[in-house]
Amino acid sequence: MLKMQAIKKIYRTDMIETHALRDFDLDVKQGEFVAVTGPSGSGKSTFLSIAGLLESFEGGKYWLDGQDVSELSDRTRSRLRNEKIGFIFQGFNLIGDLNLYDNVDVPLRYRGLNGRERKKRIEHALERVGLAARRHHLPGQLSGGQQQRVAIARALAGDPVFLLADEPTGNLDSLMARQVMEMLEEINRQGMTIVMVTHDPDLARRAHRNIQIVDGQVTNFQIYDPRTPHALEPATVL
Amino acid sequence: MWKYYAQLAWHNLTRTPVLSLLMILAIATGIGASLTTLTLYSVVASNPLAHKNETLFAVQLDSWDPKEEFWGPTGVPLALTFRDARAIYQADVADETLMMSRVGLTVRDANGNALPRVEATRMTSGNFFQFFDVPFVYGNAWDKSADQVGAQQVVISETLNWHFFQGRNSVGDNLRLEGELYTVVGVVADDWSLAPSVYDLSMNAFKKPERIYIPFLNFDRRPFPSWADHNGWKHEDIRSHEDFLASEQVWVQMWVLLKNPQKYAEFSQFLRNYISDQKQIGRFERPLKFRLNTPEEWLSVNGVVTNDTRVLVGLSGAFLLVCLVNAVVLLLAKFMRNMAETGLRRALGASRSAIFSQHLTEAAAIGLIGAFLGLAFSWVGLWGVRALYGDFDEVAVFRMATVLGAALLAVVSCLITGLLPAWQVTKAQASRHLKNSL
Repeated sequence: MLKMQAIKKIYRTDMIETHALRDFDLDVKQGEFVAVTGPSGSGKSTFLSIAGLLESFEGGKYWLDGQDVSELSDRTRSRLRNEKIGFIFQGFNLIGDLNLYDNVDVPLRYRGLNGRERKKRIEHALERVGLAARRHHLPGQLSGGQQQRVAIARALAGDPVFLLADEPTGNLDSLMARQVMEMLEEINRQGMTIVMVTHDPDLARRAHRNIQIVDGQVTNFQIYDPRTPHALEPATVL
Repeated sequence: MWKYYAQLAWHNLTRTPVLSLLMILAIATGIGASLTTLTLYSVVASNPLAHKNETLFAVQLDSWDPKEEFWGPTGVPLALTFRDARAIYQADVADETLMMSRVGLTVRDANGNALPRVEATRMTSGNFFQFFDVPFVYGNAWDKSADQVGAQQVVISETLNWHFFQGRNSVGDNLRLEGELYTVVGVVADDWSLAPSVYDLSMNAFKKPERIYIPFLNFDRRPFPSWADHNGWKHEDIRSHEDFLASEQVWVQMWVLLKNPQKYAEFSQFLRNYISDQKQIGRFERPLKFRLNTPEEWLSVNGVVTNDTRVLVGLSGAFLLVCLVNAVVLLLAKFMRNMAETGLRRALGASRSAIFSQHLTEAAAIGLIGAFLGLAFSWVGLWGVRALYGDFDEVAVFRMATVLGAALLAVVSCLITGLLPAWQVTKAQASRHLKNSL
């Protein structure tokens, strides 16, 4: 589903070069729920930007859903991003003065779908997260957990092949965080591939795999049984 | 997608109404000011007789003071003495010759019942109407024989025809000018005017046309109160009308029609000979000099477009630039403040070109609204000019060129205002703004 091989990413300023990712390898299979952890500045955000086709990279190869996306034009990358990737952000990133319906509509607009098709998808996505009745509300009128559910609906409306979640529960209290996490797990059970960046080891343990990034490299991954997420210890150390 | 961009543009405009209004006002003020001055300039700098540049010429002769050159830009007086004008007219060398001056006459109906009114009157030759494309509503100009004897015939304007004859065909009726009866031979349309008034640029290049025209050589019979520009270079003991006509005062304007280069050469040679003859009788003591000015040259010689006008146009252009720079800065600030949303849209599938188009649409909307408001400001500005300066009635008006100018300015302004901010937004790295709050 998502395969990276020897990815290299360097940020340059006049004074210094920062190697954000070096020889970065990752292979995420269809239907997996992968948690990516690591300390601040380890390269998690860079990985997320590259995986989400928001940034280019200097070396290596990246296959998304079987397609080599290493050297595509911005237009093609944008189309792939729109069609294949659903984003979920820590801060929800809903547009404050658009109602829920219009927020979910944003990625569909760039898909170029007609009004009827967009309406069907938006209503279905909002129903899926239990907020169809609030479609005309503004994000500010919802709780944090509800806003994140809207963000999930927006990510799902485009019918992507995998979700990229960046600290999806980082701004939520524990109860809401649990609800959102359960929702992601449910979506994953329905077959959606999910890659989630998180600082929270408890959340990471609920994923199938835990990948740790240190200094721009994958240093560790752990396999958990998704049915008993706290039962297993790390299986392999790279 | 353009419909969606337009919806977003409107949404973004109303999201920050004060900032949007400031940008629109900045553009509108700049466009309004520059459009007002450009409208004035386009008329002032125009040549309504450009199509006659090859054949029509204003005549200048240097009959001035032997000790000192005439003060004008060419060093040659802008008008002729009566005696020179009449001599050249009577020599009949040009294809057609026209002499004229401006007077003020009391006018009343033939029976002398109505109160008299004083009207600016052009004393001219019958070919004036043909030379300067004056359209007739009724009748025609007087003929050449009327010119030669200074016949008591008159052409009046439509307005005066309404005043004295209730708008009916008054050809053959009489009017009383300075107490004498004149027969109406023609009525000219009210909507005729040349701006600038190339035929007579003395004193004011944007005066309204006169409402009465009579044959010039009526001067041979009697004096009329002159409203023309008179200049002289020596003391002359003028005690009678005959003394005045024979004096060295210059006040008669002369135009000639020369249909081809041969005729031009022939007439030029005639003027040389005429001046040489006059030198023999003690006149024209300065070096032999004359000028035949095309309408274009005549506008230049008379300084219709002054340096002040050019500076004003330059200043208004600079003001527009300042306004646009302000609008660009405000727009850039607005776009940059909105980078989190832009980053989100990129993440959700918007390409760089989509982001560029969306922002350019917003800039274009601001530019277009600014342009329309600028057009309204310009309309108010021109109304103000007309209110302050009555003589600018023909100048300070919207024309098709004005509207096209506004459209052009709007397009250029939109491009200048929108391109840079839209490009800056497009260049920004979306991922860096995703963690900012929306």
